[in-house]
Amino acid sequence: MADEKKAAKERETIDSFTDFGNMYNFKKKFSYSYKTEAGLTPDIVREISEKKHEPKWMLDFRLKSLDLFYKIEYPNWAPDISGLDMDNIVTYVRPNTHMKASWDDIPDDIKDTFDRLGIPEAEKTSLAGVGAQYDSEVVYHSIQDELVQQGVIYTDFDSALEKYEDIVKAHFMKLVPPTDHKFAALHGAVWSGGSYVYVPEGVDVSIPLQSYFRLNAPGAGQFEHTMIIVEKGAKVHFIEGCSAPKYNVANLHAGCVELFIGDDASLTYSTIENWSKNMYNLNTKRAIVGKNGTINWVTGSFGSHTSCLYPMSILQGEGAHCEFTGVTFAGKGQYLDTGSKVVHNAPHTTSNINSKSISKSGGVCIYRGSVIINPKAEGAKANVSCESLMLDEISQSDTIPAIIVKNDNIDLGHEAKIGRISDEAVFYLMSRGLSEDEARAMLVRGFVEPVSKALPLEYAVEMNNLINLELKGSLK
Amino acid sequence: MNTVKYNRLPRPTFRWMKVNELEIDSLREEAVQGMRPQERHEGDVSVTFYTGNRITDLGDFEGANTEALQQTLSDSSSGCAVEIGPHAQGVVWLTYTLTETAPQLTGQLKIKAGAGSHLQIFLDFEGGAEHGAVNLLDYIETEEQAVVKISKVQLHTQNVRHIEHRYAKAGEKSTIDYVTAELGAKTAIIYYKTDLTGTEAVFNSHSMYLGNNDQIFDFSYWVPTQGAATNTDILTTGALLDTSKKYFRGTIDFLRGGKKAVGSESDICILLSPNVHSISVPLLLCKEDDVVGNHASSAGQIDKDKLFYLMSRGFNEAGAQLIIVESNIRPVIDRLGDADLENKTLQAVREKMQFCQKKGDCHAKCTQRFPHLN
Amino acid sequence: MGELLRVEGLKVAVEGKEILKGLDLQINAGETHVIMGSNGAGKSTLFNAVMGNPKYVVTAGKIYFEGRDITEEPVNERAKSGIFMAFQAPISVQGITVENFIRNAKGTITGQSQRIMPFRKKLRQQMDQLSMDRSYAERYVNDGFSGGERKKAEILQMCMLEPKLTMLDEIDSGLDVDAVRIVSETVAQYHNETNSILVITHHSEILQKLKPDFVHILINGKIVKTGDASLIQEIEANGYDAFKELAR
Repeated sequence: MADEKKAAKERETIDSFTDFGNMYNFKKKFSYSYKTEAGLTPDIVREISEKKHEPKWMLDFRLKSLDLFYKIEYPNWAPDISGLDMDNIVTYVRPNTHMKASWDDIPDDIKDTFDRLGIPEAEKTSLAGVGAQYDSEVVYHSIQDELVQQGVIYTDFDSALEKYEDIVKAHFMKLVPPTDHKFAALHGAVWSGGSYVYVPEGVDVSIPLQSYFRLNAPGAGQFEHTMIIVEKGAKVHFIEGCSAPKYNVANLHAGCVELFIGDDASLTYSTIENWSKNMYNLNTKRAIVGKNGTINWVTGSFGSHTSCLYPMSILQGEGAHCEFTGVTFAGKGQYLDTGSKVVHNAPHTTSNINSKSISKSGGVCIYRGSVIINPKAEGAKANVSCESLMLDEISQSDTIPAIIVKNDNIDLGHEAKIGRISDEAVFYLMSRGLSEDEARAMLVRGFVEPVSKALPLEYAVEMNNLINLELKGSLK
Repeated sequence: MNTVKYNRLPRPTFRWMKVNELEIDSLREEAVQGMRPQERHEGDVSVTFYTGNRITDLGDFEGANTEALQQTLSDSSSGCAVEIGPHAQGVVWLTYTLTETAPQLTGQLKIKAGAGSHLQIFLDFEGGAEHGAVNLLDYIETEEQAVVKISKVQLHTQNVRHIEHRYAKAGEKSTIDYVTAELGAKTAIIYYKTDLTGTEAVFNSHSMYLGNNDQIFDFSYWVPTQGAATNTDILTTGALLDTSKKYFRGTIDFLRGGKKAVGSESDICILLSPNVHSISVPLLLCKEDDVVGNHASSAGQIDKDKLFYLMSRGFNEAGAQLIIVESNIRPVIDRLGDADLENKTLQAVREKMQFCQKKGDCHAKCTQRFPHLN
Repeated sequence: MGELLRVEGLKVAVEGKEILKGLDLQINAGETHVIMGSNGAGKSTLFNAVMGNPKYVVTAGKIYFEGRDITEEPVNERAKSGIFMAFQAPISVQGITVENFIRNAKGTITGQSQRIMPFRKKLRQQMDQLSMDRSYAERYVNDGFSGGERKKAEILQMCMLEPKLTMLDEIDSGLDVDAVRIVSETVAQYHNETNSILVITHHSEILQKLKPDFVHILINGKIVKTGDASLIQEIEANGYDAFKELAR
């Protein structure tokens, strides 16, 4: 009885924490210069392609992908997406501006959005390049001159298709083919916007680049395509931020990220995802890594109604390395099915997956992962660690990893833990003067520390703010 | 040839990995003959044999495969009921032997343990035949504070498909304790589901395997914890040689309301040949915050430092390997609790290891080389 | 000297089992008290009850701090009023560095946010005094610390949080001779006429530096005898048996 009371009290405390996202949940009057009708037909796909003045091969690619989208079934293991009515998703919304290289040239309401998200400010202080997408198109792009001189390219995807058609054609949806799954096919059909990054051999881009994706139009989809090519020995850190105001209709995000990392090259790909809670985030990210190259994923997933997101690393060259550090935080009404996939295809490849999840107020967190060590990957090492924190007894947390080992000369370790914040830890902190809420918030922050540590300071602060908003009663 | 699917995960995952179930060629069915296991027992326990179906309370238990399960219900030719009254103690030995004249077995084993009773069952599977098959359904029900321990050794020849569906319902403060040694058969399919319905119910499962040639071992465990303060401990450990394969599918399912449940599962695999496959799908499903769930799995070659240490004491590589593999699986074998079965299992392990490492080396020589292992 | 802690007729149960069976104790500012007694007598229970561990249920009696009834107060409020317990087995806190942890705790207790540089300076001084490597400030609280390092980290917290009443629960167990000396010197140096120390120990080394004013013998949930430091020798020589009769 006493236990029940205590549990009810705990739930009350946690429930009373405000729903976070207020700082992202401001709406702008929905204005646009062009948008497609809701739904999905070959005519709509033709229309998008035509408006963008694309080459024919791209139109053909889109139509072929659309065909696949109709044919491929939605997987049986994946979360319920019946709330998503494809006939009502607007696939293309062109904002009221063309791409600009100066914030001053951007219409006030759009600029105000990015101001409030702190993008221009961050650009001044800590970024080497910025891209900003509003609905379906990129409205702002800039990069430091110094990097341009070194041959670094950072531009919106439409410009890339125009200026670097051959290289785009050679890479576009080669890592994530439209046959991969239903929403990859959809992406192939209706993609628009996104960023293109090219870092030439040996160039070290020491300051991060950031693209920010804002979806303002209600009932719309965002399908941006991000392609990053890091040549031999080059190094870059790319940050992706996403948010949207909350509407009562479902929004869909089915972006696609393709990362090509050369020999001895290194890419850090950081994401703070804070889509609004009407968002279906069915995103696909994949990297292929050359000899002694490194992909380093850092991801914080806080938003969305439903997420399916499993960044995949294909370790193709000898000694290639993958590091994955992720935290997922599901609150009321959220179903976040996230994780990481690694394929070891070459000798002495190594991977290290570190995943944390927090479930509260009925939220559902699922870690779904895979590690495959193929016969060629002799001397491969893989390590997977999953920790799940349950903040109350009405939430849910599942761990669904799968590991396939096909050669003997490997070293594999996997650990998973599920539990709640220990009463002993709360008491210990309270004995040092912290209130119960403060103690819990501190323990939750400690729990996600590996992720905040891996982020640049400003983003670690942003992530901590998100957690503090989620767990009101943060430290003074 | 048609295929058939076994041991489907309670919660499937990515299709492209092909780990959601085991898909293999379907089996050629032989005429099933009645088979009565060799039986002896001690203590205050009743053992009766029957034909037909006496297991009616399976709920939504689907077994390793619904058709195979249905067969054990409709075509059982070898039923055995073991009952033990309240506070009684008993031990039962059952030996199932496949032969050329009786190559396939479809049967039932029904176990009922009264309150406070203590029942130990030894299951010994041996023999084999072309297209040999075992399809056995076990049903275990424990009343308050009963302890049921099942020690199983499976040493069929490698032309047998061995399927065991085992379903248990554990009452309040009762203990279900499984010790399983899987060495034989071409394909061994283990599907254990245990409903921990009672408060403070305990489920322990310790299993070992040693695969060679193209053997497949598929271990599937599913433990929904409904009662409060239940305890689950699952350990599967073993080694793989040649092109053998092991699947570990463990699911601890912390249901809402099962407060203070503690569950851990671990899966250890020593890889001894370049072409073995080890697949591990350990699920922790959790709808209750006041629980502790842990999983650990590891796979790899024999630890080089250990090997070096042993070889520095004069063992050759094969000998040192055997010692390490044995030290890994010995704790499970030692839990079997019957000297004859333990010995039989150990011998089978050594024969397998020897066969692989040095063809032609005889078992006698092997034991001579490691006298201290006896 | 003002009264700091007063415990009256305290009965405490743990998981339904009564451990303290009517305990009285008064500690004034500036005093050092030692509680001695065999294992299971209720020494740690007393500390946990004074600190306010919810697992330790007060079934009767009162606890006063500076004259205020704190029996029902939550643990963090007691910490704010100046009660500190050095745990026998401090838990580790993943992800939170020692410095960050103490700075936050200090800020909460004093109600004033602590500026980084002055705080760090003081923290380093204290760490030097405790012969703790400064790198420990950047490590997670007690994570991977040895037994001795954990104990030192507890004393470091005491020094920084500056409590009025410090309860040391077997702070000397698991420490080598040098560490015992360093810890007891640090506590002795911290001790002054405005604060009090309450010690549980099985060893007399630490008491040589701490110079107790009162020694209490706790048997079977009650204080059966109170005396001065000379009681320590008596126990060392004869054990607790002689006092067991007093408990009847």
